[in-house]
Amino acid sequence: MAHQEAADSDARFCALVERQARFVFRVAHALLRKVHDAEDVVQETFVKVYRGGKWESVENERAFLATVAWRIAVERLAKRRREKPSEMPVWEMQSRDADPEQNAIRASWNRVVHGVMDGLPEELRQPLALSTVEDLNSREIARVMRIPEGTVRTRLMRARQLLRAKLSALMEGRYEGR
Amino acid sequence: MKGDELDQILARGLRSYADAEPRPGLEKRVINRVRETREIRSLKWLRWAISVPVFASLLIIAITFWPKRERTPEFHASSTPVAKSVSAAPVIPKAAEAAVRRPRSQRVLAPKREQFPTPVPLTEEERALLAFANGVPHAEEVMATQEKRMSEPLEIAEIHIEPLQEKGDEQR
Repeated sequence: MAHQEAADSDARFCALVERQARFVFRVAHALLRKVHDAEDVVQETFVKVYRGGKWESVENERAFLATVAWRIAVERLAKRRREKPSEMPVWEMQSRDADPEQNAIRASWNRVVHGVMDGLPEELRQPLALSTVEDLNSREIARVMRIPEGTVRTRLMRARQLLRAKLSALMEGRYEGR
Repeated sequence: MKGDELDQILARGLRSYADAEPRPGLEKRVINRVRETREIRSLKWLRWAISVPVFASLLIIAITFWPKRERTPEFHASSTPVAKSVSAAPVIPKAAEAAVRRPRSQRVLAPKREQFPTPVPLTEEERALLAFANGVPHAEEVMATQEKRMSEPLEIAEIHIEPLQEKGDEQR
Protein backbone atom coordinates (compact mmCIF):
# COMPACT_ATOMS: atom_id res chain seq x y z
CA MET A 1 0.00 0.00 0.00
CA ALA A 2 2.70 2.46 1.08
CA HIS A 3 4.85 1.32 -1.79
CA GLN A 4 2.02 2.05 -4.23
CA GLU A 5 1.56 5.54 -2.75
CA ALA A 6 5.26 6.23 -3.10
CA ALA A 7 5.18 5.10 -6.71
CA ASP A 8 2.19 7.35 -7.44
CA SER A 9 3.88 10.31 -5.79
CA ASP A 10 7.01 9.62 -7.81
CA ALA A 11 4.99 9.54 -11.03
CA ARG A 12 3.27 12.83 -10.14
CA PHE A 13 6.59 14.47 -9.44
CA CYS A 14 8.02 13.25 -12.75
CA ALA A 15 4.99 14.73 -14.49
CA LEU A 16 5.60 18.05 -12.73
CA VAL A 17 9.22 18.04 -13.92
CA GLU A 18 8.15 17.23 -17.48
CA ARG A 19 5.55 19.99 -17.37
CA GLN A 20 7.55 22.81 -15.82
CA ALA A 21 11.28 22.16 -16.28
CA ARG A 22 11.55 24.41 -19.33
CA PHE A 23 9.62 27.20 -17.64
CA VAL A 24 11.95 27.01 -14.62
CA PHE A 25 14.91 26.99 -16.99
CA ARG A 26 13.70 30.19 -18.66
CA VAL A 27 13.23 31.94 -15.33
CA ALA A 28 16.76 31.00 -14.32
CA HIS A 29 18.20 31.87 -17.70
CA ALA A 30 16.50 35.27 -17.74
CA LEU A 31 18.50 36.13 -14.66
CA LEU A 32 21.76 34.28 -15.16
CA ARG A 33 22.08 34.40 -18.98
CA LYS A 34 24.11 31.18 -19.05
CA VAL A 35 22.67 27.84 -20.12
CA HIS A 36 24.78 25.69 -17.77
CA ASP A 37 24.06 27.86 -14.76
CA ALA A 38 20.37 27.92 -15.58
CA GLU A 39 20.29 24.11 -15.86
CA ASP A 40 21.98 23.77 -12.49
CA VAL A 41 19.34 26.06 -11.03
CA VAL A 42 16.59 23.89 -12.52
CA GLN A 43 18.05 20.79 -10.85
CA GLU A 44 18.51 22.54 -7.52
CA THR A 45 14.99 23.92 -7.70
CA PHE A 46 13.37 20.53 -8.20
CA VAL A 47 15.51 18.85 -5.57
CA LYS A 48 14.59 21.56 -3.09
CA VAL A 49 10.91 21.36 -3.98
CA TYR A 50 10.95 17.56 -3.64
CA ARG A 51 12.68 17.69 -0.26
CA GLY A 52 10.28 20.36 0.97
CA GLY A 53 7.37 18.05 0.25
CA LYS A 54 4.86 20.87 -0.30
CA TRP A 55 4.82 20.62 -4.06
CA GLU A 56 1.59 18.59 -4.13
CA SER A 57 -0.42 21.11 -2.14
CA VAL A 58 0.51 24.39 -3.91
CA GLU A 59 -2.20 26.23 -5.83
CA ASN A 60 -0.11 27.98 -8.45
CA GLU A 61 2.74 25.66 -9.27
CA ARG A 62 4.25 28.02 -11.84
CA ALA A 63 4.53 30.89 -9.37
CA PHE A 64 5.76 28.52 -6.68
CA LEU A 65 8.48 27.05 -8.88
CA ALA A 66 9.42 30.46 -10.27
CA THR A 67 9.84 31.79 -6.72
CA VAL A 68 12.11 28.92 -5.68
CA ALA A 69 14.14 29.13 -8.89
CA TRP A 70 14.39 32.89 -8.59
CA ARG A 71 15.87 32.73 -5.09
CA ILE A 72 18.41 30.13 -6.10
CA ALA A 73 19.34 32.09 -9.22
CA VAL A 74 19.73 35.35 -7.27
CA GLU A 75 22.06 33.61 -4.80
CA ARG A 76 24.06 32.17 -7.66
CA LEU A 77 24.26 35.55 -9.38
CA ALA A 78 25.48 37.21 -6.18
CA LYS A 79 28.08 34.47 -5.76
CA ARG A 80 29.21 34.85 -9.35
CA ARG A 81 29.63 38.59 -8.87
CA ARG A 82 31.61 38.07 -5.67
CA GLU A 83 33.93 35.67 -7.46
CA LYS A 84 34.21 37.73 -10.67
CA PRO A 85 33.40 41.33 -9.80
CA SER A 86 34.96 42.56 -13.06
CA GLU A 87 32.52 40.56 -15.18
CA MET A 88 30.70 42.99 -17.44
CA PRO A 89 27.38 42.58 -19.20
CA VAL A 90 27.58 41.43 -22.79
CA TRP A 91 26.56 44.76 -24.25
CA GLU A 92 29.12 46.78 -22.33
CA MET A 93 31.89 44.50 -23.53
CA GLN A 94 30.76 44.94 -27.11
CA SER A 95 30.49 48.69 -26.77
CA ARG A 96 34.18 49.02 -25.99
CA ASP A 97 34.98 48.44 -29.60
CA ALA A 98 35.88 51.44 -31.70
CA ASP A 99 32.62 51.54 -33.59
CA PRO A 100 29.51 50.41 -31.71
CA GLU A 101 27.40 51.21 -34.71
CA GLN A 102 29.32 48.66 -36.73
CA ASN A 103 28.75 46.16 -33.91
CA ALA A 104 25.09 46.86 -34.03
CA ILE A 105 25.00 46.44 -37.75
CA ARG A 106 26.90 43.17 -37.55
CA ALA A 107 24.82 41.66 -34.80
CA SER A 108 21.20 40.85 -35.17
CA TRP A 109 18.82 43.31 -33.59
CA ASN A 110 17.72 40.80 -31.05
CA ARG A 111 21.19 40.43 -29.72
CA VAL A 112 21.54 44.18 -29.55
CA VAL A 113 18.40 44.43 -27.49
CA HIS A 114 19.60 41.65 -25.18
CA GLY A 115 22.95 43.38 -24.81
CA VAL A 116 21.33 46.67 -23.88
CA MET A 117 19.04 44.85 -21.45
CA ASP A 118 21.99 43.14 -19.79
CA GLY A 119 23.50 46.58 -19.23
CA LEU A 120 20.49 47.84 -17.29
CA PRO A 121 20.67 48.19 -13.50
CA GLU A 122 19.67 44.90 -11.81
CA GLU A 123 16.61 46.35 -10.08
CA LEU A 124 15.24 47.24 -13.53
CA ARG A 125 16.62 44.31 -15.49
CA GLN A 126 15.22 41.59 -13.21
CA PRO A 127 11.51 42.48 -13.45
CA LEU A 128 11.89 43.16 -17.15
CA ALA A 129 13.59 39.81 -17.68
CA LEU A 130 10.88 38.02 -15.72
CA SER A 131 8.20 39.76 -17.75
CA THR A 132 9.68 38.16 -20.86
CA VAL A 133 9.35 34.65 -19.42
CA GLU A 134 6.16 33.21 -20.85
CA ASP A 135 4.37 36.46 -20.13
CA LEU A 136 4.57 36.39 -16.36
CA ASN A 137 2.27 39.20 -15.27
CA SER A 138 3.17 41.91 -12.76
CA ARG A 139 1.31 40.16 -9.96
CA GLU A 140 3.30 36.97 -10.47
CA ILE A 141 6.54 38.94 -10.77
CA ALA A 142 5.71 40.76 -7.54
CA ARG A 143 5.14 37.45 -5.81
CA VAL A 144 8.37 35.98 -7.12
CA MET A 145 10.45 39.03 -6.22
CA ARG A 146 8.57 39.70 -2.99
CA ILE A 147 8.00 43.35 -3.80
CA PRO A 148 4.70 45.29 -4.22
CA GLU A 149 2.95 44.99 -7.54
CA GLY A 150 3.04 48.78 -7.98
CA THR A 151 6.82 48.74 -7.63
CA VAL A 152 7.01 46.07 -10.31
CA ARG A 153 4.94 48.17 -12.70
CA THR A 154 7.03 51.29 -12.03
CA ARG A 155 10.28 49.41 -12.58
CA LEU A 156 8.99 47.80 -15.75
CA MET A 157 8.02 51.19 -17.12
CA ARG A 158 11.38 52.76 -16.24
CA ALA A 159 13.23 49.80 -17.69
CA ARG A 160 11.37 50.00 -20.98
CA GLN A 161 11.93 53.76 -21.20
CA LEU A 162 15.64 53.37 -20.55
CA LEU A 163 15.91 50.51 -23.00
CA ARG A 164 14.13 52.47 -25.68
CA ALA A 165 16.30 55.54 -25.14
CA LYS A 166 19.52 53.56 -25.29
CA LEU A 167 18.44 51.64 -28.33
CA SER A 168 17.32 54.80 -30.06
CA ALA A 169 20.65 56.46 -29.33
CA LEU A 170 22.48 53.42 -30.59
CA MET A 171 20.54 53.36 -33.82
CA GLU A 172 21.25 57.01 -34.41
CA GLY A 173 24.94 56.38 -33.79
CA ARG A 174 25.04 58.48 -30.65
CA TYR A 175 25.47 55.68 -28.16
CA GLU A 176 28.86 55.80 -26.50
CA GLY A 177 28.48 52.62 -24.54
CA ARG A 178 29.47 54.10 -21.13
CA MET B 1 14.55 55.58 -37.64
CA LYS B 2 10.86 55.66 -37.04
CA GLY B 3 9.38 55.05 -33.63
CA ASP B 4 7.21 52.18 -34.88
CA GLU B 5 10.21 50.31 -36.15
CA LEU B 6 12.02 50.82 -32.87
CA ASP B 7 9.02 49.49 -30.98
CA GLN B 8 8.91 46.42 -33.18
CA ILE B 9 12.60 45.74 -32.66
CA LEU B 10 12.13 46.17 -28.91
CA ALA B 11 9.15 43.83 -28.79
CA ARG B 12 10.96 41.16 -30.79
CA GLY B 13 14.06 41.52 -28.66
CA LEU B 14 12.10 41.24 -25.42
CA ARG B 15 10.22 38.20 -26.66
CA SER B 16 13.42 36.44 -27.58
CA TYR B 17 15.21 37.37 -24.34
CA ALA B 18 13.87 34.29 -22.58
CA ASP B 19 13.81 32.07 -25.63
CA ALA B 20 16.92 30.16 -24.65
CA GLU B 21 16.61 26.40 -24.81
CA PRO B 22 18.25 23.94 -22.46
CA ARG B 23 20.36 21.09 -23.73
CA PRO B 24 18.28 18.04 -24.65
CA GLY B 25 17.32 15.69 -21.83
CA LEU B 26 16.98 18.31 -19.09
CA GLU B 27 13.89 16.67 -17.62
CA LYS B 28 15.59 13.30 -17.46
CA ARG B 29 18.64 14.78 -15.79
CA VAL B 30 16.47 16.53 -13.24
CA ILE B 31 14.54 13.35 -12.42
CA ASN B 32 17.75 11.37 -12.10
CA ARG B 33 19.21 13.98 -9.78
CA VAL B 34 16.10 13.94 -7.60
CA ARG B 35 16.14 10.13 -7.43
CA GLU B 36 19.83 10.17 -6.61
CA THR B 37 19.21 12.58 -3.76
CA ARG B 38 16.36 10.42 -2.51
CA GLU B 39 18.55 7.33 -2.53
CA ILE B 40 21.29 9.14 -0.67
CA ARG B 41 18.77 10.21 1.93
CA SER B 42 17.49 6.65 2.31
CA LEU B 43 21.06 5.40 2.63
CA LYS B 44 21.62 7.94 5.36
CA TRP B 45 18.73 6.46 7.30
CA LEU B 46 20.10 2.99 6.68
CA ARG B 47 23.49 4.05 7.98
CA TRP B 48 21.91 5.32 11.18
CA ALA B 49 19.70 2.27 11.43
CA ILE B 50 22.77 0.05 11.38
CA SER B 51 25.21 2.10 13.39
CA VAL B 52 22.95 2.90 16.35
CA PRO B 53 22.08 -0.75 17.32
CA VAL B 54 25.68 -1.85 16.74
CA PHE B 55 26.97 0.89 19.00
CA ALA B 56 24.35 0.12 21.64
CA SER B 57 25.17 -3.59 21.67
CA LEU B 58 28.90 -2.86 21.91
CA LEU B 59 28.21 -0.59 24.84
CA ILE B 60 26.17 -3.28 26.61
CA ILE B 61 28.91 -5.88 26.02
CA ALA B 62 31.54 -3.50 27.33
CA ILE B 63 29.52 -2.76 30.49
CA THR B 64 28.77 -6.45 31.10
CA PHE B 65 32.26 -7.83 30.64
CA TRP B 66 34.29 -4.94 31.98
CA PRO B 67 36.86 -6.33 34.52
CA LYS B 68 35.57 -5.58 38.00
CA ARG B 69 37.91 -4.06 40.56
CA GLU B 70 38.59 -5.93 43.82
CA ARG B 71 37.08 -4.30 46.85
CA THR B 72 39.75 -2.79 49.06
CA PRO B 73 39.57 -3.19 52.86
CA GLU B 74 38.00 -0.22 54.56
CA PHE B 75 39.71 1.65 57.35
CA HIS B 76 37.85 1.77 60.61
CA ALA B 77 38.74 4.25 63.31
CA SER B 78 39.62 2.35 66.48
CA SER B 79 40.55 3.29 70.00
CA THR B 80 43.85 1.48 69.82
CA PRO B 81 47.01 3.60 69.82
CA VAL B 82 48.24 4.85 66.47
CA ALA B 83 51.51 3.00 66.69
CA LYS B 84 49.63 -0.26 66.82
CA SER B 85 47.30 0.50 63.95
CA VAL B 86 50.18 1.67 61.79
CA SER B 87 52.12 -1.49 62.39
CA ALA B 88 49.02 -3.58 61.71
CA ALA B 89 48.05 -1.75 58.46
CA PRO B 90 47.49 -4.21 55.62
CA VAL B 91 49.68 -3.98 52.54
CA ILE B 92 47.51 -2.47 49.79
CA PRO B 93 48.42 -2.95 46.15
CA LYS B 94 49.22 0.29 44.34
CA ALA B 95 46.25 0.14 41.94
CA ALA B 96 43.82 -0.46 44.77
CA GLU B 97 45.48 2.27 46.81
CA ALA B 98 44.90 4.72 43.98
CA ALA B 99 41.25 3.71 43.85
CA VAL B 100 40.89 4.15 47.61
CA ARG B 101 42.72 7.48 47.66
CA ARG B 102 40.42 10.18 48.82
CA PRO B 103 40.36 13.78 47.81
CA ARG B 104 42.57 16.12 49.80
CA SER B 105 39.68 17.97 51.32
CA GLN B 106 38.64 14.89 53.34
CA ARG B 107 41.05 14.58 56.23
CA VAL B 108 41.33 11.25 58.02
CA LEU B 109 41.05 11.86 61.76
CA ALA B 110 43.13 9.72 64.09
CA PRO B 111 41.29 8.07 66.98
CA LYS B 112 41.16 10.12 70.18
CA ARG B 113 43.58 8.91 72.83
CA GLU B 114 42.77 8.57 76.53
CA GLN B 115 46.10 10.06 77.62
CA PHE B 116 48.33 12.38 75.70
CA PRO B 117 51.19 11.98 75.22
CA THR B 118 51.07 8.24 75.29
CA PRO B 119 53.09 6.86 78.25
CA VAL B 120 56.20 5.24 77.02
CA PRO B 121 58.45 2.95 79.15
CA LEU B 122 61.77 4.51 80.31
CA THR B 123 64.83 3.98 78.22
CA GLU B 124 68.01 2.49 79.62
CA GLU B 125 69.69 5.92 79.93
CA GLU B 126 66.72 7.32 81.81
CA ARG B 127 66.68 4.37 84.16
CA ALA B 128 70.45 4.82 84.80
CA LEU B 129 70.00 8.54 85.57
CA LEU B 130 67.18 7.74 87.95
CA ALA B 131 69.35 5.17 89.73
CA PHE B 132 72.19 7.69 90.01
CA ALA B 133 69.91 10.34 91.46
CA ASN B 134 68.57 7.90 93.99
CA GLY B 135 72.10 6.91 94.95
CA VAL B 136 73.44 10.43 95.78
CA PRO B 137 73.31 11.19 99.58
CA HIS B 138 71.51 14.31 100.75
CA ALA B 139 70.22 14.93 97.27
CA GLU B 140 67.17 16.65 98.62
CA GLU B 141 69.26 19.03 100.71
CA VAL B 142 71.41 19.89 97.77
CA MET B 143 68.40 20.59 95.70
CA ALA B 144 66.84 22.78 98.43
CA THR B 145 70.05 24.80 98.75
CA GLN B 146 70.17 25.30 95.06
CA GLU B 147 66.59 26.45 94.96
CA LYS B 148 67.17 28.85 97.85
CA ARG B 149 70.15 30.30 96.11
CA MET B 150 68.14 30.79 93.00
CA SER B 151 65.38 32.59 94.86
CA GLU B 152 67.73 35.08 96.67
CA PRO B 153 68.00 38.55 95.14
CA LEU B 154 71.03 39.08 93.01
CA GLU B 155 73.71 41.34 94.48
CA ILE B 156 75.84 43.24 92.06
CA ALA B 157 79.01 44.99 93.26
CA GLU B 158 79.41 48.66 92.49
CA ILE B 159 81.25 49.38 89.35
CA HIS B 160 83.86 52.09 89.47
CA ILE B 161 85.06 53.44 86.14
CA GLU B 162 88.20 55.55 86.04
CA PRO B 163 87.95 58.74 83.87
CA LEU B 164 89.96 58.53 80.65
CA GLN B 165 93.17 60.53 80.44
CA GLU B 166 94.11 62.38 77.23
CA LYS B 167 97.64 62.20 75.73
CA GLY B 168 98.43 65.83 76.41
CA ASP B 169 97.65 65.41 80.08
CA GLU B 170 100.06 62.47 80.33
CA GLN B 171 102.89 64.49 78.73
CA ARG B 172 102.34 67.35 81.10
